[in-house]
Amino acid sequence: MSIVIENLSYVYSRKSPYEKHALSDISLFIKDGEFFGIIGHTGSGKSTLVNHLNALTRIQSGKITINGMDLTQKKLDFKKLRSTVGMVFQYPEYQLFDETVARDVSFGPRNLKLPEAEIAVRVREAIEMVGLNYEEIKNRSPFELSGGQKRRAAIAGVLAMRPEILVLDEPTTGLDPRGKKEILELILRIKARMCRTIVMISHNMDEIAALADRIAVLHEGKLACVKPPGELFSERELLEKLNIKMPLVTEIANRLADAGLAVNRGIVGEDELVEGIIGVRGQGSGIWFGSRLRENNIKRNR
Amino acid sequence: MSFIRFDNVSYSYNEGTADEVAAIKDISLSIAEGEFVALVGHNGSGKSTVAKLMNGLFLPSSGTVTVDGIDTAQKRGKNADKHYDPVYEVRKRVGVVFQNPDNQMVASIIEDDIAFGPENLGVPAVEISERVDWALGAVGMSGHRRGTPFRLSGGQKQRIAIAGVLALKPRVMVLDESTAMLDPTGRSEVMEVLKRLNRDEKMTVVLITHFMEEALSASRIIILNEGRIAMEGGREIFRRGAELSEMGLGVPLVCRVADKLRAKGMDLPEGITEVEELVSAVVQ
Repeated sequence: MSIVIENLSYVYSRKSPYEKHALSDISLFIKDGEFFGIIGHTGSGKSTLVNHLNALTRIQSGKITINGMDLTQKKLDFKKLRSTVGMVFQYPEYQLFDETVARDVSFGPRNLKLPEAEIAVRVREAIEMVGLNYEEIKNRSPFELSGGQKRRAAIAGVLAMRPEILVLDEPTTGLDPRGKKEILELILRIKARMCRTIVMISHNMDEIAALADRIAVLHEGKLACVKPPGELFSERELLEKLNIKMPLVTEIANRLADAGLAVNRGIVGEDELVEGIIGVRGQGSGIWFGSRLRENNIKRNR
Repeated sequence: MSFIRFDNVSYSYNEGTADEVAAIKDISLSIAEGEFVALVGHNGSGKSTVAKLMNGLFLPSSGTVTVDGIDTAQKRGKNADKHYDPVYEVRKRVGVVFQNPDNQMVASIIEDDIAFGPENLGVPAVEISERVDWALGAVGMSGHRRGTPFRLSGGQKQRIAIAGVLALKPRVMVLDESTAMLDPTGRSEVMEVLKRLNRDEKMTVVLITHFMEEALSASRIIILNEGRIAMEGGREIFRRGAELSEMGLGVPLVCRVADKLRAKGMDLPEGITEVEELVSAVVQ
Protein backbone atom coordinates (compact mmCIF):
# COMPACT_ATOMS: atom_id res chain seq x y z
CA MET A 1 0.00 0.00 0.00
CA SER A 2 2.70 2.44 -0.85
CA ILE A 3 2.12 6.00 -2.02
CA VAL A 4 4.37 7.30 -4.78
CA ILE A 5 4.26 11.01 -5.56
CA GLU A 6 6.31 12.23 -8.53
CA ASN A 7 6.93 15.85 -9.48
CA LEU A 8 3.59 17.05 -8.17
CA SER A 9 2.83 20.75 -8.67
CA TYR A 10 -0.36 22.67 -8.05
CA VAL A 11 -1.40 26.27 -8.72
CA TYR A 12 -4.50 27.90 -7.20
CA SER A 13 -6.51 30.51 -9.14
CA ARG A 14 -4.29 30.10 -12.16
CA LYS A 15 -3.99 33.16 -14.42
CA SER A 16 -5.75 35.41 -11.92
CA PRO A 17 -4.30 38.16 -9.69
CA TYR A 18 -4.51 35.67 -6.80
CA GLU A 19 -2.47 32.98 -8.53
CA LYS A 20 -0.64 31.00 -5.90
CA HIS A 21 1.85 28.18 -6.36
CA ALA A 22 0.72 25.87 -3.58
CA LEU A 23 2.94 22.92 -4.50
CA SER A 24 6.11 22.91 -6.57
CA ASP A 25 7.64 19.72 -7.86
CA ILE A 26 7.04 17.43 -4.87
CA SER A 27 8.38 13.88 -5.07
CA LEU A 28 7.78 11.53 -2.15
CA PHE A 29 7.62 7.82 -1.45
CA ILE A 30 5.54 6.75 1.53
CA LYS A 31 6.19 3.14 2.47
CA ASP A 32 3.63 0.52 3.26
CA GLY A 33 3.11 0.35 7.03
CA GLU A 34 4.77 3.68 7.69
CA PHE A 35 3.66 6.40 10.10
CA PHE A 36 4.44 9.39 7.95
CA GLY A 37 4.39 12.90 9.36
CA ILE A 38 4.01 16.14 7.42
CA ILE A 39 4.92 19.48 8.99
CA GLY A 40 5.26 23.03 7.75
CA HIS A 41 3.87 26.47 8.35
CA THR A 42 0.34 27.56 7.56
CA GLY A 43 0.25 28.06 3.79
CA SER A 44 3.16 25.72 3.10
CA GLY A 45 0.95 23.35 1.07
CA LYS A 46 0.37 20.51 3.54
CA SER A 47 -3.38 20.34 3.11
CA THR A 48 -3.19 20.78 -0.67
CA LEU A 49 -0.79 17.86 -0.78
CA VAL A 50 -2.94 15.46 1.24
CA ASN A 51 -6.12 16.49 -0.55
CA HIS A 52 -4.52 14.98 -3.64
CA LEU A 53 -4.27 11.59 -1.97
CA ASN A 54 -7.92 10.74 -2.43
CA ALA A 55 -8.45 12.92 -5.46
CA LEU A 56 -10.40 15.70 -3.75
CA THR A 57 -7.91 17.88 -5.54
CA ARG A 58 -7.18 16.56 -9.02
CA ILE A 59 -3.64 16.49 -10.26
CA GLN A 60 -2.60 19.45 -12.44
CA SER A 61 0.90 18.24 -13.13
CA GLY A 62 2.95 15.32 -11.89
CA LYS A 63 1.85 11.85 -10.90
CA ILE A 64 0.56 9.97 -7.87
CA THR A 65 0.34 6.19 -7.65
CA ILE A 66 -1.36 4.56 -4.67
CA ASN A 67 -0.96 0.81 -4.51
CA GLY A 68 -0.51 0.70 -8.24
CA MET A 69 -3.54 2.90 -8.91
CA ASP A 70 -2.67 5.87 -11.11
CA LEU A 71 -4.49 8.99 -9.88
CA THR A 72 -3.86 10.94 -13.06
CA GLN A 73 -6.21 8.78 -15.12
CA LYS A 74 -9.37 10.57 -16.24
CA LYS A 75 -11.87 7.88 -15.35
CA LEU A 76 -10.69 7.26 -11.86
CA ASP A 77 -12.50 4.65 -9.77
CA PHE A 78 -13.36 7.07 -6.96
CA LYS A 79 -15.18 4.45 -4.89
CA LYS A 80 -12.14 2.22 -4.89
CA LEU A 81 -9.78 5.07 -4.15
CA ARG A 82 -11.89 6.44 -1.32
CA SER A 83 -12.25 3.07 0.32
CA THR A 84 -8.47 2.74 0.11
CA VAL A 85 -7.57 6.19 1.41
CA GLY A 86 -9.58 7.53 4.36
CA MET A 87 -9.40 11.26 5.07
CA VAL A 88 -9.92 12.82 8.47
CA PHE A 89 -10.03 16.57 7.99
CA GLN A 90 -9.38 19.32 10.51
CA TYR A 91 -12.26 19.54 12.96
CA PRO A 92 -13.92 16.42 11.47
CA GLU A 93 -16.81 16.81 13.92
CA TYR A 94 -18.09 19.73 11.84
CA GLN A 95 -19.01 17.14 9.23
CA LEU A 96 -21.37 15.15 11.44
CA PHE A 97 -24.84 15.54 10.00
CA ASP A 98 -27.20 12.64 10.61
CA GLU A 99 -29.81 12.04 13.29
CA THR A 100 -28.04 9.21 15.05
CA VAL A 101 -24.42 8.22 15.43
CA ALA A 102 -25.03 4.83 13.75
CA ARG A 103 -26.68 6.45 10.71
CA ASP A 104 -23.90 9.02 10.45
CA VAL A 105 -21.20 6.35 10.55
CA SER A 106 -23.08 4.22 8.00
CA PHE A 107 -23.11 7.01 5.39
CA GLY A 108 -19.88 5.92 3.69
CA PRO A 109 -20.52 2.18 3.39
CA ARG A 110 -24.13 2.87 2.33
CA ASN A 111 -22.80 4.95 -0.56
CA LEU A 112 -20.70 1.96 -1.53
CA LYS A 113 -24.06 0.13 -1.87
CA LEU A 114 -22.98 -2.64 0.44
CA PRO A 115 -25.60 -5.10 1.76
CA GLU A 116 -27.32 -3.94 4.99
CA ALA A 117 -25.82 -6.77 7.05
CA GLU A 118 -22.31 -5.80 5.95
CA ILE A 119 -23.03 -2.14 6.72
CA ALA A 120 -24.19 -3.05 10.22
CA VAL A 121 -21.01 -5.04 10.87
CA ARG A 122 -18.80 -2.20 9.69
CA VAL A 123 -20.65 0.45 11.69
CA ARG A 124 -20.32 -1.53 14.92
CA GLU A 125 -16.67 -2.28 14.18
CA ALA A 126 -15.85 1.38 13.47
CA ILE A 127 -17.67 2.73 16.52
CA GLU A 128 -15.96 0.18 18.77
CA MET A 129 -12.60 0.88 17.16
CA VAL A 130 -12.76 4.54 18.20
CA GLY A 131 -13.48 3.51 21.77
CA LEU A 132 -17.16 4.43 21.97
CA ASN A 133 -19.77 2.07 23.42
CA TYR A 134 -21.84 0.94 20.43
CA GLU A 135 -25.03 -0.04 22.27
CA GLU A 136 -24.99 3.12 24.33
CA ILE A 137 -24.28 5.53 21.54
CA LYS A 138 -25.77 4.14 18.32
CA ASN A 139 -29.16 5.82 18.67
CA ARG A 140 -27.95 9.10 20.15
CA SER A 141 -27.68 12.29 18.18
CA PRO A 142 -24.05 13.05 17.32
CA PHE A 143 -24.71 16.64 18.36
CA GLU A 144 -25.37 15.62 21.97
CA LEU A 145 -21.90 14.16 22.40
CA SER A 146 -18.96 15.86 24.09
CA GLY A 147 -16.24 17.46 21.95
CA GLY A 148 -13.87 14.50 22.16
CA GLN A 149 -16.68 11.99 21.51
CA LYS A 150 -17.88 13.95 18.48
CA ARG A 151 -14.41 13.84 16.99
CA ARG A 152 -14.18 10.10 17.57
CA ALA A 153 -17.63 9.53 16.05
CA ALA A 154 -16.50 11.48 12.98
CA ILE A 155 -13.36 9.36 12.70
CA ALA A 156 -15.56 6.24 12.97
CA GLY A 157 -17.40 7.45 9.88
CA VAL A 158 -14.11 7.33 7.97
CA LEU A 159 -13.11 3.95 9.41
CA ALA A 160 -16.42 2.40 8.33
CA MET A 161 -14.98 2.53 4.80
CA ARG A 162 -12.19 0.21 6.05
CA PRO A 163 -9.45 2.26 4.44
CA GLU A 164 -5.95 0.84 4.27
CA ILE A 165 -4.34 4.26 4.39
CA LEU A 166 -5.56 6.86 6.86
CA VAL A 167 -4.74 10.52 6.31
CA LEU A 168 -5.28 12.88 9.24
CA ASP A 169 -5.05 16.66 9.00
CA GLU A 170 -4.20 18.00 12.46
CA PRO A 171 -6.36 15.55 14.38
CA THR A 172 -5.75 16.99 17.86
CA THR A 173 -6.34 20.72 17.24
CA GLY A 174 -8.71 22.37 19.69
CA LEU A 175 -8.84 19.44 22.12
CA ASP A 176 -7.84 19.66 25.75
CA PRO A 177 -4.84 17.61 26.96
CA ARG A 178 -6.94 14.58 27.85
CA GLY A 179 -8.75 14.67 24.50
CA LYS A 180 -5.42 14.99 22.68
CA LYS A 181 -3.95 12.02 24.46
CA GLU A 182 -7.04 9.92 23.71
CA ILE A 183 -6.95 10.74 20.00
CA LEU A 184 -3.23 9.97 19.70
CA GLU A 185 -3.73 6.63 21.44
CA LEU A 186 -6.65 5.97 19.12
CA ILE A 187 -4.51 6.66 16.04
CA LEU A 188 -1.90 4.16 17.24
CA ARG A 189 -4.66 1.60 17.84
CA ILE A 190 -6.06 2.18 14.36
CA LYS A 191 -2.60 1.74 12.91
CA ALA A 192 -2.12 -1.55 14.75
CA ARG A 193 -5.50 -3.00 13.86
CA MET A 194 -6.86 -1.46 10.69
CA CYS A 195 -4.93 1.05 8.61
CA ARG A 196 -1.34 -0.03 8.21
CA THR A 197 -0.23 3.25 6.76
CA ILE A 198 -0.86 6.59 8.46
CA VAL A 199 -0.15 10.02 7.01
CA MET A 200 -0.57 12.77 9.58
CA ILE A 201 -0.24 16.55 9.35
CA SER A 202 0.58 18.26 12.61
CA HIS A 203 1.62 21.62 13.97
CA ASN A 204 2.60 20.04 17.23
CA MET A 205 6.27 19.10 17.03
CA ASP A 206 6.23 17.13 20.28
CA GLU A 207 3.36 15.04 19.02
CA ILE A 208 4.74 14.31 15.54
CA ALA A 209 8.27 13.67 16.84
CA ALA A 210 6.92 11.03 19.20
CA LEU A 211 4.77 9.25 16.60
CA ALA A 212 6.19 9.49 13.09
CA ASP A 213 8.71 7.14 11.51
CA ARG A 214 9.69 9.83 9.04
CA ILE A 215 8.71 13.48 8.72
CA ALA A 216 8.42 15.54 5.54
CA VAL A 217 8.91 19.28 5.91
CA LEU A 218 7.06 21.49 3.44
CA HIS A 219 8.28 25.03 2.98
CA GLU A 220 6.56 27.48 0.65
CA GLY A 221 5.14 24.65 -1.44
CA LYS A 222 8.43 22.81 -1.79
CA LEU A 223 9.60 19.68 -0.10
CA ALA A 224 12.45 20.83 2.13
CA CYS A 225 13.44 17.38 3.43
CA VAL A 226 12.24 13.96 4.59
CA LYS A 227 13.98 12.56 7.66
CA PRO A 228 13.35 10.45 10.75
CA PRO A 229 12.43 12.73 13.70
CA GLY A 230 15.65 12.14 15.66
CA GLU A 231 17.70 13.19 12.66
CA LEU A 232 15.49 16.10 11.59
CA PHE A 233 15.25 17.71 14.99
CA SER A 234 18.97 17.46 15.71
CA GLU A 235 19.80 19.65 12.72
CA ARG A 236 19.52 23.01 14.31
CA GLU A 237 20.68 25.07 11.33
CA LEU A 238 18.20 23.42 8.99
CA LEU A 239 15.36 24.01 11.46
CA GLU A 240 16.32 27.65 11.82
CA LYS A 241 16.41 28.08 8.06
CA LEU A 242 12.94 26.55 7.76
CA ASN A 243 11.74 28.46 10.81
CA ILE A 244 10.60 25.29 12.52
CA LYS A 245 10.60 24.95 16.27
CA MET A 246 12.22 21.97 17.87
CA PRO A 247 10.10 19.75 20.06
CA LEU A 248 10.54 21.05 23.59
CA VAL A 249 12.30 17.83 24.61
CA THR A 250 14.89 18.31 21.86
CA GLU A 251 15.30 21.96 22.80
CA ILE A 252 16.08 20.98 26.39
CA ALA A 253 18.56 18.33 25.17
CA ASN A 254 20.28 20.92 22.97
CA ARG A 255 20.48 23.50 25.74
CA LEU A 256 22.02 20.87 27.99
CA ALA A 257 24.48 19.91 25.29
CA ASP A 258 25.35 23.60 24.81
CA ALA A 259 26.04 23.77 28.53
CA GLY A 260 28.56 20.96 28.12
CA LEU A 261 26.48 17.95 29.12
CA ALA A 262 27.04 14.87 26.95
CA VAL A 263 23.42 14.29 25.97
CA ASN A 264 22.37 13.42 22.43
CA ARG A 265 21.06 16.47 20.55
CA GLY A 266 18.60 14.35 18.58
CA ILE A 267 16.51 13.20 21.55
CA VAL A 268 12.78 13.47 20.83
CA GLY A 269 11.22 11.37 23.61
CA GLU A 270 10.62 12.57 27.14
CA ASP A 271 11.77 9.38 28.86
CA GLU A 272 14.77 9.20 26.58
CA LEU A 273 15.70 12.70 27.77
CA VAL A 274 15.29 11.73 31.43
CA GLU A 275 17.42 8.60 30.86
CA GLY A 276 19.97 10.68 28.99
CA ILE A 277 20.29 13.16 31.83
CA ILE A 278 20.42 10.46 34.49
CA GLY A 279 23.04 8.72 32.34
CA VAL A 280 25.40 11.68 32.50
CA ARG A 281 24.43 13.25 35.79
CA GLY A 282 23.01 10.49 37.96
CA GLN A 283 25.00 8.05 40.05
CA GLY A 284 25.56 4.36 39.37
CA SER A 285 24.86 3.45 35.79
CA GLY A 286 26.21 6.75 34.55
CA ILE A 287 29.87 6.14 35.32
CA TRP A 288 30.97 5.82 31.71
CA PHE A 289 29.04 8.86 30.56
CA GLY A 290 30.06 10.63 33.73
CA SER A 291 33.71 10.09 32.95
CA ARG A 292 33.15 11.27 29.39
CA LEU A 293 31.60 14.43 30.82
CA ARG A 294 34.59 14.94 33.07
CA GLU A 295 36.86 14.48 30.08
CA ASN A 296 34.87 17.10 28.24
CA ASN A 297 35.10 19.43 31.18
CA ILE A 298 38.84 18.89 31.38
CA LYS A 299 39.17 19.59 27.67
CA ARG A 300 37.10 22.72 28.01
CA ASN A 301 39.05 23.90 31.03
CA ARG A 302 42.26 23.61 29.07
CA MET B 1 -8.94 46.31 44.95
CA SER B 2 -10.82 43.77 42.93
CA PHE B 3 -12.15 44.82 39.56
CA ILE B 4 -14.08 41.66 38.79
CA ARG B 5 -15.67 39.83 41.67
CA PHE B 6 -17.63 36.58 41.78
CA ASP B 7 -19.49 35.98 45.03
CA ASN B 8 -20.85 32.45 45.38
CA VAL B 9 -21.77 32.34 41.72
CA SER B 10 -23.60 29.36 40.26
CA TYR B 11 -24.86 28.99 36.72
CA SER B 12 -27.00 26.29 35.16
CA TYR B 13 -27.89 25.79 31.53
CA ASN B 14 -31.56 25.11 30.72
CA GLU B 15 -32.55 26.25 34.17
CA GLY B 16 -35.84 24.88 35.41
CA THR B 17 -36.11 22.20 32.71
CA ALA B 18 -35.41 18.48 32.75
CA ASP B 19 -32.10 19.10 30.92
CA GLU B 20 -30.73 21.42 33.59
CA VAL B 21 -26.95 21.16 33.81
CA ALA B 22 -25.00 22.96 36.51
CA ALA B 23 -21.94 24.42 34.77
CA ILE B 24 -20.62 26.62 37.56
CA LYS B 25 -21.05 25.73 41.20
CA ASP B 26 -20.59 28.30 43.95
CA ILE B 27 -17.52 30.06 42.65
CA SER B 28 -16.00 33.03 44.41
CA LEU B 29 -13.06 34.81 42.90
CA SER B 30 -11.60 38.24 42.52
CA ILE B 31 -9.42 39.75 39.83
CA ALA B 32 -7.55 43.00 40.42
CA GLU B 33 -6.68 45.61 37.77
CA GLY B 34 -3.42 44.92 35.97
CA GLU B 35 -3.40 41.20 36.72
CA PHE B 36 -2.66 38.48 34.17
CA VAL B 37 -4.78 35.55 35.20
CA ALA B 38 -4.97 32.18 33.46
CA LEU B 39 -8.14 30.16 33.83
CA VAL B 40 -7.41 26.54 33.04
CA GLY B 41 -9.62 23.48 32.89
CA HIS B 42 -10.49 20.58 30.61
CA ASN B 43 -13.43 20.74 28.20
CA GLY B 44 -16.66 21.03 30.13
CA SER B 45 -15.02 22.35 33.30
CA GLY B 46 -16.94 25.62 33.07
CA LYS B 47 -14.20 27.95 31.81
CA SER B 48 -16.19 29.47 28.96
CA THR B 49 -19.21 29.91 31.19
CA VAL B 50 -17.03 31.99 33.53
CA ALA B 51 -15.95 34.15 30.56
CA LYS B 52 -19.55 34.77 29.57
CA LEU B 53 -20.49 35.63 33.14
CA MET B 54 -17.69 38.21 33.24
CA ASN B 55 -19.25 40.49 30.66
CA GLY B 56 -22.92 39.87 31.25
CA LEU B 57 -23.54 37.53 28.30
CA PHE B 58 -24.76 35.15 31.00
CA LEU B 59 -26.27 36.28 34.28
CA PRO B 60 -25.67 34.10 37.33
CA SER B 61 -28.40 31.67 38.41
CA SER B 62 -27.42 32.56 41.96
CA GLY B 63 -24.76 34.73 43.55
CA THR B 64 -23.46 38.00 42.12
CA VAL B 65 -20.89 39.07 39.56
CA THR B 66 -19.61 42.63 39.96
CA VAL B 67 -17.47 44.47 37.44
CA ASP B 68 -15.97 47.75 38.61
CA GLY B 69 -18.69 47.87 41.27
CA ILE B 70 -21.53 47.22 38.79
CA ASP B 71 -23.70 44.18 39.41
CA THR B 72 -24.05 42.51 35.97
CA ALA B 73 -27.57 41.37 36.82
CA GLN B 74 -28.70 44.88 37.79
CA LYS B 75 -31.91 45.84 35.98
CA ARG B 76 -31.89 48.74 33.60
CA GLY B 77 -33.79 51.85 34.64
CA LYS B 78 -33.31 51.54 38.38
CA ASN B 79 -30.73 54.25 37.99
CA ALA B 80 -31.90 57.85 37.65
CA ASP B 81 -30.62 58.14 34.07
CA LYS B 82 -32.96 56.19 31.79
CA HIS B 83 -30.22 55.78 29.19
CA TYR B 84 -28.02 54.01 31.68
CA ASP B 85 -27.81 50.33 30.83
CA PRO B 86 -25.64 48.33 33.22
CA VAL B 87 -24.89 45.64 30.63
CA TYR B 88 -23.44 48.29 28.29
CA GLU B 89 -21.34 49.63 31.13
CA VAL B 90 -20.04 46.15 31.89
CA ARG B 91 -19.23 45.43 28.24
CA LYS B 92 -17.36 48.71 27.89
CA ARG B 93 -15.11 47.49 30.64
CA VAL B 94 -14.77 43.80 29.77
CA GLY B 95 -14.02 42.74 26.19
CA VAL B 96 -14.12 39.09 25.17
CA VAL B 97 -12.20 37.49 22.30
CA PHE B 98 -13.55 34.10 21.29
CA GLN B 99 -12.05 30.96 19.81
CA ASN B 100 -12.79 31.11 16.11
CA PRO B 101 -11.37 34.23 14.43
CA ASP B 102 -13.61 33.75 11.38
CA ASN B 103 -16.77 34.09 13.47
CA GLN B 104 -15.68 37.46 14.84
CA MET B 105 -15.17 39.44 11.65
CA VAL B 106 -18.04 41.77 10.84
CA ALA B 107 -16.70 43.90 7.99
CA SER B 108 -14.72 43.30 4.83
CA ILE B 109 -12.21 46.10 5.48
CA ILE B 110 -10.08 45.85 8.58
CA GLU B 111 -10.54 49.44 9.77
CA ASP B 112 -14.34 49.10 9.47
CA ASP B 113 -14.19 45.90 11.43
CA ILE B 114 -12.27 47.54 14.26
CA ALA B 115 -14.46 50.66 14.20
CA PHE B 116 -17.63 48.57 14.59
CA GLY B 117 -17.51 48.45 18.40
CA PRO B 118 -16.80 52.13 19.10
CA GLU B 119 -19.36 53.16 16.45
CA ASN B 120 -21.99 51.25 18.38
CA LEU B 121 -20.98 53.06 21.53
CA GLY B 122 -21.47 56.41 19.75
CA VAL B 123 -17.81 57.43 19.92
CA PRO B 124 -17.14 60.56 17.78
CA ALA B 125 -15.65 59.80 14.32
CA VAL B 126 -12.33 61.54 14.93
CA GLU B 127 -11.79 59.58 18.08
CA ILE B 128 -12.77 56.31 16.37
CA SER B 129 -10.04 56.90 13.82
CA GLU B 130 -7.50 57.49 16.57
CA ARG B 131 -8.65 54.38 18.39
CA VAL B 132 -8.34 52.27 15.23
CA ASP B 133 -4.77 53.49 14.74
CA TRP B 134 -3.88 52.83 18.32
CA ALA B 135 -5.52 49.39 18.41
CA LEU B 136 -3.83 48.26 15.19
CA GLY B 137 -0.50 49.51 16.49
CA ALA B 138 -1.00 47.67 19.78
CA VAL B 139 -1.42 44.33 17.97
CA GLY B 140 1.37 45.07 15.47
CA MET B 141 -0.92 45.26 12.42
CA SER B 142 -0.68 48.96 11.51
CA GLY B 143 0.14 48.23 7.87
CA HIS B 144 -3.13 46.36 7.31
CA ARG B 145 -5.61 49.16 8.02
CA ARG B 146 -7.18 49.17 4.56
CA GLY B 147 -6.73 45.48 3.89
CA THR B 148 -9.32 42.75 4.15
CA PRO B 149 -9.39 40.36 7.10
CA PHE B 150 -10.27 37.38 4.92
CA ARG B 151 -6.82 36.95 3.41
CA LEU B 152 -4.97 36.98 6.70
CA SER B 153 -3.51 34.02 8.57
CA GLY B 154 -5.31 32.71 11.66
CA GLY B 155 -2.91 34.48 14.02
CA GLN B 156 -3.31 37.78 12.17
CA LYS B 157 -7.11 37.45 12.16
CA GLN B 158 -7.09 36.83 15.87
CA ARG B 159 -4.92 39.93 16.37
CA ILE B 160 -7.51 41.91 14.38
CA ALA B 161 -10.22 40.48 16.65
CA ILE B 162 -8.18 41.60 19.65
CA ALA B 163 -7.77 45.08 18.09
CA GLY B 164 -11.56 45.21 17.63
CA VAL B 165 -11.99 44.63 21.33
CA LEU B 166 -9.18 47.05 22.23
CA ALA B 167 -10.91 49.82 20.27
CA LEU B 168 -13.64 49.70 22.91
CA LYS B 169 -10.92 50.67 25.41
CA PRO B 170 -11.88 47.97 27.87
CA ARG B 171 -10.16 47.64 31.22
CA VAL B 172 -10.17 43.85 31.05
CA MET B 173 -9.63 41.52 28.10
CA VAL B 174 -10.97 38.01 28.40
CA LEU B 175 -9.64 35.51 25.87
CA ASP B 176 -11.79 32.43 25.62
CA GLU B 177 -9.46 29.82 24.10
CA SER B 178 -8.47 32.40 21.53
CA THR B 179 -5.32 30.49 20.59
CA ALA B 180 -6.85 27.01 20.32
CA MET B 181 -7.35 27.13 16.57
CA LEU B 182 -4.03 28.75 15.70
CA ASP B 183 -0.75 27.22 14.56
CA PRO B 184 2.31 27.65 16.81
CA THR B 185 3.38 30.87 15.03
CA GLY B 186 -0.10 32.37 15.36
CA ARG B 187 -0.28 31.29 18.96
CA SER B 188 2.98 32.96 19.90
CA GLU B 189 2.00 36.14 17.98
CA VAL B 190 -1.16 36.39 20.09
CA MET B 191 0.64 35.59 23.34
CA GLU B 192 3.23 38.28 22.63
CA VAL B 193 0.48 40.85 22.06
CA LEU B 194 -1.20 39.88 25.33
CA LYS B 195 1.99 40.07 27.35
CA ARG B 196 2.77 43.48 25.84
CA LEU B 197 -0.73 44.85 26.53
CA ASN B 198 -0.51 43.66 30.10
CA ARG B 199 2.96 45.16 30.58
CA ASP B 200 2.75 48.43 28.64
CA GLU B 201 -0.95 49.32 28.68
CA LYS B 202 -1.58 47.85 32.15
CA MET B 203 -4.43 45.88 30.62
CA THR B 204 -5.98 43.27 32.87
CA VAL B 205 -5.89 39.95 31.00
CA VAL B 206 -7.93 36.85 31.74
CA LEU B 207 -6.62 34.04 29.56
CA ILE B 208 -8.79 30.97 29.26
CA THR B 209 -6.78 28.07 27.91
CA HIS B 210 -5.97 24.43 28.17
CA PHE B 211 -2.39 24.91 27.03
CA MET B 212 -0.35 24.65 30.18
CA GLU B 213 2.64 26.34 28.54
CA GLU B 214 0.49 29.46 27.96
CA ALA B 215 -0.70 29.49 31.53
CA LEU B 216 2.94 29.90 32.55
CA SER B 217 2.80 33.50 31.24
CA ALA B 218 0.20 34.39 33.87
CA SER B 219 0.90 35.84 37.27
CA ARG B 220 -1.91 33.79 38.77
CA ILE B 221 -3.45 30.50 37.65
CA ILE B 222 -6.95 29.38 38.52
CA ILE B 223 -7.81 25.77 37.75
CA LEU B 224 -11.43 24.83 37.24
CA ASN B 225 -12.72 21.31 37.53
CA GLU B 226 -16.35 20.28 37.19
CA GLY B 227 -17.59 23.83 37.73
CA ARG B 228 -15.55 24.52 40.84
CA ILE B 229 -12.19 26.13 41.56
CA ALA B 230 -9.85 23.21 42.17
CA MET B 231 -6.58 25.08 42.61
CA GLU B 232 -5.38 28.64 42.61
CA GLY B 233 -1.95 30.15 42.86
CA GLY B 234 1.30 30.90 41.07
CA ARG B 235 3.39 28.49 39.04
CA GLU B 236 4.03 26.37 42.10
CA ILE B 237 0.71 24.65 41.40
CA PHE B 238 2.40 22.77 38.56
CA ARG B 239 4.26 20.79 41.19
CA ARG B 240 0.97 19.07 41.91
CA GLY B 241 1.30 16.98 38.77
CA ALA B 242 -0.68 13.94 39.92
CA GLU B 243 -3.73 16.03 40.85
CA LEU B 244 -3.57 17.92 37.57
CA SER B 245 -3.49 14.79 35.46
CA GLU B 246 -6.39 13.42 37.44
CA MET B 247 -8.36 16.47 36.29
CA GLY B 248 -7.45 15.71 32.69
CA LEU B 249 -4.85 18.45 32.51
CA GLY B 250 -1.26 18.17 31.51
CA VAL B 251 1.71 19.45 33.42
CA PRO B 252 4.15 21.60 31.44
CA LEU B 253 6.84 19.37 29.98
CA VAL B 254 9.64 21.06 31.92
CA CYS B 255 7.89 20.36 35.23
CA ARG B 256 7.24 16.77 34.15
CA VAL B 257 10.88 16.14 33.23
CA ALA B 258 12.04 17.72 36.51
CA ASP B 259 9.65 15.45 38.43
CA LYS B 260 10.90 12.35 36.65
CA LEU B 261 14.51 13.33 37.36
CA ARG B 262 13.71 13.81 41.02
CA ALA B 263 11.99 10.42 41.08
CA LYS B 264 15.24 8.91 39.76
CA GLY B 265 17.10 10.40 42.68
CA MET B 266 18.40 13.63 41.23
CA ASP B 267 18.55 16.52 43.62
CA LEU B 268 16.77 19.42 41.93
CA PRO B 269 15.32 22.55 43.56
CA GLU B 270 11.52 22.81 43.75
CA GLY B 271 9.45 24.94 41.41
CA ILE B 272 11.30 24.51 38.11
CA THR B 273 8.98 25.65 35.32
CA GLU B 274 11.25 27.14 32.65
CA VAL B 275 13.78 25.52 30.33
CA GLU B 276 16.58 27.78 31.62
CA GLU B 277 15.84 26.84 35.21
CA LEU B 278 15.93 23.15 34.36
CA VAL B 279 19.14 23.43 32.36
CA SER B 280 21.01 25.39 35.02
CA ALA B 281 19.79 23.08 37.79
CA VAL B 282 20.88 19.96 35.90
CA VAL B 283 24.25 21.32 34.78
CA GLN B 284 25.17 22.63 38.22
